[in-house]
Amino acid sequence: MLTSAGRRPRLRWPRSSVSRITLALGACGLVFILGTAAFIAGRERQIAFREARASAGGAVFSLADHASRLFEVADLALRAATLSLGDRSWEDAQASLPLHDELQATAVALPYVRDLLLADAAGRLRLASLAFPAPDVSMADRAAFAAARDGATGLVIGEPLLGKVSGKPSFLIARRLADADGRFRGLVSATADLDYFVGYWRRMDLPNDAHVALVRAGEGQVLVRLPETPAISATSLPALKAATAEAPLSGRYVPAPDRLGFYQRVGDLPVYLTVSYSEAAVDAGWRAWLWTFLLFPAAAILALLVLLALARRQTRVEARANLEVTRARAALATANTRLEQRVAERTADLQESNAEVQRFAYIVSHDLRAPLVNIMGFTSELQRLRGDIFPDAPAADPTLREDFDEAIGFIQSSIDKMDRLIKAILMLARQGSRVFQPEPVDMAALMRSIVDGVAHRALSAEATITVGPMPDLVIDRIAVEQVFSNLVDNAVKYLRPGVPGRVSVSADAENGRARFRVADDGRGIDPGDHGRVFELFRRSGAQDRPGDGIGLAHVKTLVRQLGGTISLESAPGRGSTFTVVLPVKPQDGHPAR
Amino acid sequence: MMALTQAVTILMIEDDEGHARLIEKNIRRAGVSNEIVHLRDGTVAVEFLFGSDEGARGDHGPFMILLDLNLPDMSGVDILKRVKADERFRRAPVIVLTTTDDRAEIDRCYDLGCNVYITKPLIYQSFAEAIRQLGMFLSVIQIPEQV
Repeated sequence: MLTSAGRRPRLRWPRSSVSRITLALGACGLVFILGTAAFIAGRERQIAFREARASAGGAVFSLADHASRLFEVADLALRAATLSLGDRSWEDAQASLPLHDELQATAVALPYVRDLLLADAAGRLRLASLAFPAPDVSMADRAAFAAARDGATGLVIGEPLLGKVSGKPSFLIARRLADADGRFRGLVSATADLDYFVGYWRRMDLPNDAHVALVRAGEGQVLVRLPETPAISATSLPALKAATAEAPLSGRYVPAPDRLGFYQRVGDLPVYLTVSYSEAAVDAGWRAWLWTFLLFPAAAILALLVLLALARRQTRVEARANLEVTRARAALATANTRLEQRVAERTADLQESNAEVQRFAYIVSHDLRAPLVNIMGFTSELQRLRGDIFPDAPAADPTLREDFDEAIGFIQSSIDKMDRLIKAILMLARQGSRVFQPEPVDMAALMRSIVDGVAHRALSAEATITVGPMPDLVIDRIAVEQVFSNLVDNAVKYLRPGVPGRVSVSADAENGRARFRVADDGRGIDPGDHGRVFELFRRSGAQDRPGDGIGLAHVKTLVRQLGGTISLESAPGRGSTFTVVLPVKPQDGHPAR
Repeated sequence: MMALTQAVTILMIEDDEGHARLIEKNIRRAGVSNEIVHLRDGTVAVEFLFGSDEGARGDHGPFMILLDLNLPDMSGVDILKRVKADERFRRAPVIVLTTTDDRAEIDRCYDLGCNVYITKPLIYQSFAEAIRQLGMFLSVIQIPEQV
């Protein structure tokens, strides 16, 4: 039942129902916290992916729209340049500074256009916004030129190239120039400022490691992209091509195993704008969020564990306290039983020895008396013969008769004394066997009657006796009367000769015990005799008063039998005070015998 | 003094020789001259009364008993009990004459059918007085016929 301190198991199923409930609640709380956290985390991940998709989808649409506007404006610029060129011959145009200035103004006004270029049917550059006169370079090798020469109407988007004048990567936005009769006359084109695109896209600040690109349809050439590194995945362009074959306007594709891409056709041009993002990045973002978020459930769990530990500790403390209380109770019960046994044994012993003492006293008094009867009887018989032994003759020796009388007198007084002593023993023995009968006793009245009993002697000794307020007792009337009449009697008996005595009887009660004091200012008792005066047949001081040394022994026996104590304070010449402490009511543990 | 009917015997059951002598002296002084049979202990007394085997002695004349309670071999109370329980003797007067004046003892003896209880006082005057009064008492009581 008890777990010894030596091998207390680390974990054990709690015994008390309270701590079981606590543990169950704690487990529920833990499950709830973990479940909620998992739910929130999963949901957050879903939302992160959905948002990444929505963000990329939105971005691809708006960026495609933006690109389409740029191309439209570029187209307008090309048309304006075409109108400005009009029917002028290439020679005129090449020499016309105003035309150049106009081209330059347009190119400067449009930040995404780096240069406006005019080339003749042979591909030779005739006018360029960035220099006048135009540098002598040929555009014949450009794919856009070839496309326009081959009769492409509308806007032509060229392949990625490196500017022959600027030396910068770019691509051409071009339009065919035609005669009035429709023959190929040359090419009006603008080189795109890739920095503008890249700058614009960068400012969009797309999340999740987003890649943005303009891709030519068909061969899938990348015109411009953000970022410029790392290299585009090998699977990216084929995947885009396959996807656009299915859905030419817009859609999704998988550029790389861990990326998701969106594409949107730019207007009706053979160009796609693509935005792709890394799912790993979304995941990483979610993970970063997760670490922050996990602090909350962790804190909650920690708090819960602390609470549980506190509760467990509390119940343990209580259980231990309970255990200790139970143990202490058991020990107390055992001790009590032992004590009761002991008391019973002692009481039995005492009663046995008491009974023995009584038997002894009875037998002694009986058997001592029997020879005394003889001594007394035959002494008296002798006395009867006195007249025969000592005849009334004048010749007889008077001293003989006196000696005879003296001897007889001593024998008789000794027998008297012996008789008194035996009677005393007998009385004490009988007292031991008397059954006390507690009854309510008016102590004040009892004391008054005792004082009245000695009033005559007090008067002749010129003593005054005062009685203070008395508590009432429930006690054996005869016994308590004997106790106090002995004490008061002694007080009056042993006053100092020639000094008017003062005897006072007072009392107080507290805690169920009454304390009586019988004080006198009489001759007092030597401290060496304080114990002795309570012994049978022992007396103290000058033996000038009648008495056999029985009274105080009797008083002490009675007081003890009443469950009380008696003590003495006294010094020769300074009076004596006897203090008797008695229970106000009979005590349970003290059998009234 | 009126003499007690001569036929009545006084059985004195008393272990103490001195007591016996003193009692006898004082009875005689009171003028009673009946035969006094002194039985010195309980065993002798029981044998005298009841015989060694039961019912052997039924041939007593009328008697009365002076009984001391404090006998060496048995309690006088036991003898009192047996006498009072016996159909033949229960009417015989029993005078308990002993040293103790214990109230309980006195009551017990009266309860058992004792007729008079006398304490042996140490004051010889009282003792002699008591015995003398007993003598007078003996002279007036009528001893019933033995059954």
